[in-house]
Amino acid sequence: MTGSQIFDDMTTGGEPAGFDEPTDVDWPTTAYRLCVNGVAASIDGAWIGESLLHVLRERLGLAGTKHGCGQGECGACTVLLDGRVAAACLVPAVAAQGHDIRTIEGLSAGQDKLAESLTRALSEVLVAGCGGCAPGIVVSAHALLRRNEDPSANAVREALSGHLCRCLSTGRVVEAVRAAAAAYRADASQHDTANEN
Amino acid sequence: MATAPPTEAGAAPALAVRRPRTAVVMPTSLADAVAEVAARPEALVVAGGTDVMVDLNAGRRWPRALVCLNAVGEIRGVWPSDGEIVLGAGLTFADLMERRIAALLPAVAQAARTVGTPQVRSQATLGGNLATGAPDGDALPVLAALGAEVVCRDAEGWRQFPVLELYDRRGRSRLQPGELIVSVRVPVSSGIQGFLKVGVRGGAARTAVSVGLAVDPARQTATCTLGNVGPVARRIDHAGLWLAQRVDWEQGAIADPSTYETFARLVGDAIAATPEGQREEAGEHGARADWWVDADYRRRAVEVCARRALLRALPPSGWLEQVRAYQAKAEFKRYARSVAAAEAPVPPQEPGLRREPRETGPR
Repeated sequence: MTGSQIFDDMTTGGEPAGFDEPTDVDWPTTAYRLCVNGVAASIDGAWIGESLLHVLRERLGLAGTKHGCGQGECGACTVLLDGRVAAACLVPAVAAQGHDIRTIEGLSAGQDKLAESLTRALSEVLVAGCGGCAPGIVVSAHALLRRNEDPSANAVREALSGHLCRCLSTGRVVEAVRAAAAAYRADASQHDTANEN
Repeated sequence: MATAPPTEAGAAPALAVRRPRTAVVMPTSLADAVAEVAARPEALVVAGGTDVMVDLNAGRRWPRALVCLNAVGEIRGVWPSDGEIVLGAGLTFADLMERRIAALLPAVAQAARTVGTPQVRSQATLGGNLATGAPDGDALPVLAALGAEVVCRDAEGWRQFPVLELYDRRGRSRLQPGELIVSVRVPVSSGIQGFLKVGVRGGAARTAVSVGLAVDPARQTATCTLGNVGPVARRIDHAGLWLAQRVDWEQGAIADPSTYETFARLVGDAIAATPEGQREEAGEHGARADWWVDADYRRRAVEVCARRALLRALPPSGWLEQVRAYQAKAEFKRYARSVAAAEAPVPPQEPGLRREPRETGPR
């Protein structure tokens, strides 16, 4: 049996129970605009019940935000809505109109020193794992370090309590976030002294 | 829309004219929201979305229209007034954890902190939690312990009633179709209040059981409520009345140390007396069993939580003397010295001279 045959069997083996699209209703669709990473994006002809995660990944091609559980348990889909962490899979995309949406792409693309030091610290730590949880953790830790420049280990644990890492890197992640905070503070104070001189 | 709506007998069926109605509305005022919900009985009303989106993602629900309430600014406020606080139904649990609410309604802030993950708390709303009516919702037990009332509005007018009357004994909503929860009025008391919950994870813990306890020394009453022991949160009236008689209200303490155990047993026995209609799912002690918490565990967890809540609210009398006697012992003094040593400030080190223990050993 070839790989493609196995794949065919898996895909045609039937949808999961309960996942049958209604046939008597025409799918209500809608058009709206989102502000993602500071750029306006037009969504057209989208089903009204789509989650923000689906729209980001499938319609806007921003695949950095990961699909984990679709139930808000795992934190892989964390994005910032007006600067607050939110599970993108639980936000109706239409309800995100008028809000400032920041994804992992938006955080890591710019000249954001904080995201840079977080990504560096986490990539040093997460080398052994699959990395599926990493984008969400960067977003949550970014929001935490914006509020609190020097969080205690417990504060980090509480802020990241919504993230599951199946590769069991939890302890190292807490260390990495604190190391990133220290590196960011050192960097900022260097900048300050450079500016004074 | 496959079949035409029923028409009067004899009349020719009216031609179905499909007018392009927008399938999503985001009202910005409460009056608009009420009108929209009344005009679209088929619409799914979404506040934070953290409950309904799970169903939508899994394909269990296919709404024909959405009414999103998150743009209604009127229901997102906190209004402290004389002797009570009015909490808007659109407040998120992250809002409810804030300092000024934690200062006046500590149990509400405690409960809010245990709801979901930080990502969920920033979206999930108080009104949504009450309206969804999940048996393991955390807002209902804590608000019921505090004696809160809920304010609702529909196209015909306003209604106000105690939060526990939102659901009947089998957990069916008493909200009318088209009725929206606008706010919750919570009385402020000087007494100690607390909320305890048992779940499996530190974050995102689904409630196995929860216990709310509020003690009001001014009126000399105690109120105890339980969450997720049945289809809907319950207030255990006789346990509260019994407790109120056993409290030394002068000192705010409990004279008889056996009160704690007895109170816990009273509360546990109360959930053993299962209401009609759930007998078939009742376990040995009659407490509700479901797919992840069996009846014995549920009863035990309720008893432990009730005892702890009472210990935190009302200490045994003479506790101050007991603490002083303990502090006079040599054992405590040794402990205090070790704590002081551990908390002593570390002498500042030059940055960049951190020890790297891994580099020193042989490779």
